[in-house]
This record gives sequence, structure tokens and C-alpha cells, in this order.
Amino acid sequence: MLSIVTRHGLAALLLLASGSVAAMEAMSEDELGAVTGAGVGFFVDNFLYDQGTATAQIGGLKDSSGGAVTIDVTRGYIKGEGSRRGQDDVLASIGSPVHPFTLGVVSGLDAPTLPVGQQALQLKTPTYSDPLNDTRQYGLWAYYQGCVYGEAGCSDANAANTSIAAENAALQASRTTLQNKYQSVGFLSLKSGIDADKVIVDQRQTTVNSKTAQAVVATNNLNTTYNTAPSSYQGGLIWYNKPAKGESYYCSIFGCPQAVKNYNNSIDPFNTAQSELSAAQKSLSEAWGVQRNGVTLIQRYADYDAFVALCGVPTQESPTCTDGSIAQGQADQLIVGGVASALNGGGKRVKGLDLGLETTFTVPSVAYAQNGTAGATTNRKDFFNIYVHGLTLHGSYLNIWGNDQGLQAETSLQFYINRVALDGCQPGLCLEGNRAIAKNVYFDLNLGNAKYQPLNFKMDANGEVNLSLPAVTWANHAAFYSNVQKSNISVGNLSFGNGHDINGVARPRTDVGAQIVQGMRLDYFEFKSTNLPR
Amino acid sequence: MNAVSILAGVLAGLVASMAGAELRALPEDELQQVSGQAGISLSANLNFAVRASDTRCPGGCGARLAIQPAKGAGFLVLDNISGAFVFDGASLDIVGIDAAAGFAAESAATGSKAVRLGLVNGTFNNFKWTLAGSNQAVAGGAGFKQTDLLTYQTNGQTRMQGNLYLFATP
Repeated sequence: MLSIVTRHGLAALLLLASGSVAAMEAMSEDELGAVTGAGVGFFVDNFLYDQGTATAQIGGLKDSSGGAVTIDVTRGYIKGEGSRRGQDDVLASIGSPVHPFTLGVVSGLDAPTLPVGQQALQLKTPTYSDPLNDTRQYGLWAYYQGCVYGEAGCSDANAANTSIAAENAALQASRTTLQNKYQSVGFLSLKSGIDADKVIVDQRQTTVNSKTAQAVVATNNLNTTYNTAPSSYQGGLIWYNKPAKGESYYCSIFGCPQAVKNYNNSIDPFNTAQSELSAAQKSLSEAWGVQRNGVTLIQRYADYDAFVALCGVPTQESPTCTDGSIAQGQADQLIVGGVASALNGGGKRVKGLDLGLETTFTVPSVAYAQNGTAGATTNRKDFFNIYVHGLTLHGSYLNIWGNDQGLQAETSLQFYINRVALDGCQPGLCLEGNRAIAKNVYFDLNLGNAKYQPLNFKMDANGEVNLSLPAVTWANHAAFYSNVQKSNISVGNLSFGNGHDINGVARPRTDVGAQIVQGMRLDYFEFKSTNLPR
Repeated sequence: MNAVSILAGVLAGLVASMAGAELRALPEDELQQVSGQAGISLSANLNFAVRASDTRCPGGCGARLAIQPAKGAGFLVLDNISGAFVFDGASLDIVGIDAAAGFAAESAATGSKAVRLGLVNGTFNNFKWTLAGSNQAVAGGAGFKQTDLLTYQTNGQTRMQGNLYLFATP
């Protein structure tokens, strides 16, 4: 009898449904395009993690001979920025109601790297657009600044301005030198002159290539016949010995072995090929030396290349610098200036995290006697500690989606760290003088691109992790190189401690200055885990 | 049972029709007055015991979670999850994330709420897990292969606290 109620409900539903059907209409493509699944925002505050008195161990790792490697995590913490290497319980906040982490399905403008119509699940870290909290802008400023803003001796945010201005001035000076050099010629004429002279260079280069090939054949032939020729032979009553390579082997009036004749016959072609090759090389070098307005072709070629790198490809005789490293440098200088003025105006960066990890590795160690005999194997302890001050991840994202290739992803990681200290000594015995310290570290790591190089993640039939980025192809190389994001790593300053003197005073640190790796891109990548020993 | 069902059905129908007459949408300002009651406070001891019959691990293996990424033949595995995680003072609440809640310049629109998961202290007792790759979801079948990538284990009193705020974004 429950069915009565069910029918009643069904009738009501039908009524409701028919009521709403009248109002239903198909959504247009534009409207549909704007629809994305509502996502989830989240942030964390009052956060603190301290390993405290707990013990922790990372195991299951093996060295290449199958021996177990155990890492004891003797201390670990995640706290707010300013914790003095975890000593103080500074509470951390990551994100806020206005700048949360977001997790949701995105497409279109929210994920411009995705192909049209493609949707992906996106995890995005708090994203800011102001100069101090946008990682790209602050990271650029920090690279030129070198020191951690707010530390002793680093209160002038304009140091970065001065440094990038000097770099740009050097670029401008190179451009001025080139402009003055070719002022009377003009850059379009310079290019057409190079093109005209290059025709002869190309012809002569072709000749050099073919003469080189001929010389290689002749040389190989000479070597073969020389090696085959006997070290001596008897003509009548006299023995004749093999001469030095390149000199002719005397053929007696009673005749000589065919191998001797073959060798002799290979000498003239060898000499001819060598002299023809050197003549061709000389004539090629003369073509590079052709002058216009008193400048050799090879110099004009290098100058034009340098100008293109500085200013972009010239489109007029007296070109303006609209592209190239000068334009890039000026754009960067604006960004650096923006960050500096925000800091000088009292602007504050959102606080980051302090992370620390102190580890002890236990590795088998074999003692050897003076005579080389192996002694007992004991366990040696190695230490490795890392302390990160002020880590932010603003503006990073991970997009994942699935297709016929499996699980695909693209990611952009924007790490910014005020200061990282590394050391390899026993915790408690380590001082600043034992540490390597990197300041203003910015990792701009971009892995995978939805259109041209999605990152593929699979577990194979053996249960091994497979991570791959497909190779660039001839068909897509142009689009690949202009669209796939590059990765950059910059360090404002890297220094190494030099230990302490007998009074326990730290010796002056060795400064190795600013480090930058720019424009990295993986053409192809494949990662596979493997069960050791193989 | 039948009689009861009919009665219940009729009553439900009545209630539904009466309620239908009274239903009206709450205006925005009235909705804002509604707030959740005091949240929930939790203390728990989560214990993942080992199965002694699973002899792959010394003393038996703990829980196993296998994930198969699309189009792949193998599994990413969190294996041998064992030990205990004890926490007290965990809380679940609905709280404001607007200016009134003290978020100052980072406040969401007035009246915005979020689910807050709070944790005051956590302790691990011989808690461990192994990250591995395997060719089978369930361990130990014919031709079973597994590569353990790393094992993490911890024991003792840690200090862990924090609030996680969750809310819907447009």
C-alpha cells in the first residue's frame, strides 16, 4: 500500500516538472561557455606543526646495490614566518577569505593554457596581483635586490632599481655603439649588404663541404694503401723499405708488389685533394672578409645578430628599439620599480611559512686498512639539515584532466623563499659559519602544457611510476617553442660559510653572488621508477 | 504494517500539503540572521590495526589504498597504513569569514560563512604508511609485483594545530 504515497508523490513531481518545462529553454553556446562547476575555496589559519618529541623515519629507500638507506627525521616543523628556525611558535596563515586556495573545474579564461572547450580540475594557490604578493613581480625584484628586505643592511628597496638600471644602461650602451657604427649605412642596408655578400659565402661553403668530403676519401685511401703496403720488398738483389707516409715507395726496375703501386697511386690524389681543400677554405675565408664601409662581413654579421638580440629585427634604416632584451629589460625595470615603490611606501608582503627538517642518514661504512684490506662494516651517521624561511606559493596551479592517453596534467609552481640555509653537520653543533645560505630564491617551474606537451602520469603493468612529457615534433616545433612556458630559477645571493677560527668567530663568508637559470624548457622527459637491485 | 504505512502516507501527504501552503523564500536579510548553533567538538583515537594473516610485512600489513590512474595498467598504492592517530579538541563549526569575524582587509563579503575544521593537538602512535607502485589492487595475487617508493613512520607526541576553512566559490 505504500504505492499510494509513491503515486501521490509522483503526481506532484510531474505537476512541478510540467510547470518548469514551460520555462525551460536551451542555453546558448556563450552562456554554456561561462558555466563552470562551482568550486571549493579553502584557507588555513593559526597553523603550526612541530614534530616535538615524536620520532619519525623515512625508510624503504635503497642504494644502487640494494642496501637499505634509512633517514631519521630528528626534527621537523612548519610554522609562521619569523619563527627563528622553529624556535618560536609563530602561527602560520596560508590564504585568506579573499585569497583562498581554490579547487574546482575550470575552462576558458580561468585556465588559458587549456585548448578551447577543454575542462580540467584545477588546484590553485592564493593568487595576488599586487606587486608585493605576485610571485613573478616580487621574484624579479628580489633577484636584483640580492638581500632579504628588512634584514640588517637591506632597508633600501631601491638597490634593485639601481642594479637593473645599470644592467639596462649597459645594454643601451651596446646599442648606441652599434647605432653609431652603422648610422651612415642604415640597418636595412646593413642587412641587404650581408645577404648579398652571404650568397658568395654560401657558395664557397658548399665547395668547402664537397672538397672536405673528397679529402676525407683521399686520406682514407692513402691510409689504407699505406697500411696494406709491405714494410719491405726485394727488387732483384736489393731490399727496399717502406718510406714515411706521404712519400713515394720506390718501385725497382724489376718491378714492385701491386700493394706498393696502389700506395704510390694514392699519393697524388691525396696531395691534390688537400691543396684543393685549403684553396677552398682560403677562398671561403676571403668571402667572410669582404668589406663594406670598412667592416668585414663576419663582423657585420655578428653586429647585426647582436643588434637583433638587443632591439628585435629592424624594420627601418634607423630602427627604434621595440623588442629584444632592451625592451624586456625596460619592462622588467618597471616591475622592479613598482615593487620597490610599494616597499618604500611601507607595503608589507603576506607572511609566508618557515619550514625545517633535520635528518640523519645511517649508511654502512667500510673501514680499509693501509694495505687495502677491508675491515669491519660499521654504520656511519651523516647529517643533512634544511631551514626554509618565508616560503610562499602564490599564483601556482595544477590542472589535471583525462583523455585517451590517460591522466594528463600541467602545472606552474611559483615558489618564493626569503632564505634557505643548508648544512651537513650535527644539529646543535652547527653555526652560521657551517652553512650554505641562499637568499631571495625564486623557482618559476612550469611543467606540461595542455596543448603541446601535457604531462602524462601512469602506473605501468609492473606497478612502476611513469611520468612523461611528449617530445617536441617537427610538425609542432614552431608553436611549441612560442607557447610552451619556460622555467626559471633565480637566487639573489648565494654564500658559503667558511667555518670558525680558533676563537669560535665565524670567518668571512664566501659570496658567490646572484645566480640565474633562465629559459629552461624540457623538449622531452620520461621518468620511471624501478625496483632495486635490478 | 500495511495500516501503519497507509496512515503514515496520508499524514506525510497532509504535512507536505500544509507546509507547501506556508513555504516562502527567506529574504537575504533574514537569511543573514540565521547562524549555525555551536559546533561539534571531537576527540578520537583512530587505530589502523594490522592483519597478521598478511605476511608481506613483518608482523602483518595495515590498510591498503590503491588508485589506478586512467589508461594505466598499474596502481599507485598507499600500503601498510597502520598505527594510531589520536587527537582531541578537534572541532567542526560554521563561522563568519567577514570583517565582523576579524579578517580585516582580507574579509569576504559581509555575512559570508565557512565551515571550520579545527585541530588542537595530534599524537601519532607507531603510525606508518608506505607509498608504492603495484600491478595489483589487492596484494598477494598470482604474479603480484610491488615497488615500495618510501615508508614514513612516526611515533610520539607531535604538536599540530590549525583551522581549515572551507567554503564554496562561484
